Amino acid sequence: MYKNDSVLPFFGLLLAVALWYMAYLDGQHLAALAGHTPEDLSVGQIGLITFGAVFFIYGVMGYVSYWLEGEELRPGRHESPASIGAGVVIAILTIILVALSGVLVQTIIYWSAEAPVSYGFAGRLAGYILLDMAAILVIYKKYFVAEVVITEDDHHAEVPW
Amino acid sequence: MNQNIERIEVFLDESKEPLQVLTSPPFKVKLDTQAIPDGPHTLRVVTVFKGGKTEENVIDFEVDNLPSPYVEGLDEGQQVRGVVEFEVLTGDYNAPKSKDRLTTTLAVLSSVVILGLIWAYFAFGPTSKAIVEANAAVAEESSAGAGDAAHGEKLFAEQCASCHGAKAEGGFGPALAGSALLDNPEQFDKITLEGRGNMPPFGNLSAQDLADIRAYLSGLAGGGASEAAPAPAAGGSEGDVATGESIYTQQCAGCHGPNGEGGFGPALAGNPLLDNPNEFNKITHEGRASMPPYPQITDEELAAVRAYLKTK
Repeated sequence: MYKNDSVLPFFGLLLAVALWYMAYLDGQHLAALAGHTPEDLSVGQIGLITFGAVFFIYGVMGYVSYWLEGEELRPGRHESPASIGAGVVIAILTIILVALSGVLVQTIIYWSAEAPVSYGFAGRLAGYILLDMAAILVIYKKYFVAEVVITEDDHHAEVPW
Repeated sequence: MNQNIERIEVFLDESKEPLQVLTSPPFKVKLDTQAIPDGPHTLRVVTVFKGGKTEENVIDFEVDNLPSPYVEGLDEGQQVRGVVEFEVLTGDYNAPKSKDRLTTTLAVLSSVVILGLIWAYFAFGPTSKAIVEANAAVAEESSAGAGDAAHGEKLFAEQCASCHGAKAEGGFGPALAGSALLDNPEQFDKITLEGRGNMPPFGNLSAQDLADIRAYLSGLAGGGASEAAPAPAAGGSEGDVATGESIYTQQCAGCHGPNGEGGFGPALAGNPLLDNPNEFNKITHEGRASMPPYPQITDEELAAVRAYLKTK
């Protein structure tokens, strides 16, 4: 059986926090040297924040996998623990997804016909839509998908956790 | 318990012989699934009541003691030729569960160590030393300047007051009391040492002198403009050398030198103009070339200045 424990996800998140903390302290030092807080991020800060984001995503993926499949895959048939609560949550998330998609479409129409829209607003909107979709898929997999686990050799696992 | 029950017979699959016959409660059946093959089975529970009536319950179930093997390397319907190698993977329901390797101690300890090392590097590393040194230099400079404001006042009176006013309120030169230039020491020192526009260079001033003058000017904080310059003793006689020296030091020495030996302006010590009061007063009151007018100095005060200069 392959391990699906939380060691690697935990250290992924810890490294992400460590890198972001370094970026913060670096900014504090730059401000101390310059005598004021610079408006822009330094190249070093951008690098630290970016690698921190990579480790953060790696850690979140690991914890989602840990939550979905448990610590260890055991052979056998695993029935889905379908529940009304999970169904209601998916329904609500779907309504939110439709609403967000509508806003995004309206934004694109306004952008092309009237005036440019803030890049930050459009980007955040797209991000919320993707996160909403991911949440729906994860909850559906957790509560509504039964699965039969056969076996998989330790060394054939495609992901390290 | 139902008193009408005579016995309960449990049959497995199509067997004619009962697996177990229960005649008294509790009617518990123990079935060892490892003794029968994996796959679908049927359990028949026949209840025989007193009087001969029977009732039968049939339950289908599946035994799965051995996980199905998974063949890796040979797919359904795949065309093969020659020697084919594939692997049969099997699982074990009874394999012991391994413990989670991430313990609370490990999580807390590693968090403290990693974040602590980062903090320590930024707190005590080489970058921090550079910051501490830079800030210490600034503090030292500011404290040195603040301590010598009195000396700065003396220097200002000798070198600068003639153009910038006795209290730095401005005159021929701009007001320096409360000037934004004081917030930029480098620019202040550069202009003073190298001159700018009509202002002559004062290369004789040391960095410490400049810091003293800045300290003095910072102390004025713009209030000097509203304060009247200390009026020299009015009605000074022709021979009032002390009054003349005072006025000269405050108003003229900045350009003509502390002892009238000349500087940005011409030398006045021994100048024949001293014997021509009218012309001397006219030039002083109205200005000439680069020299600004000083109409506020009275004829009596100018006489005292001339008397002072004649002693040089």
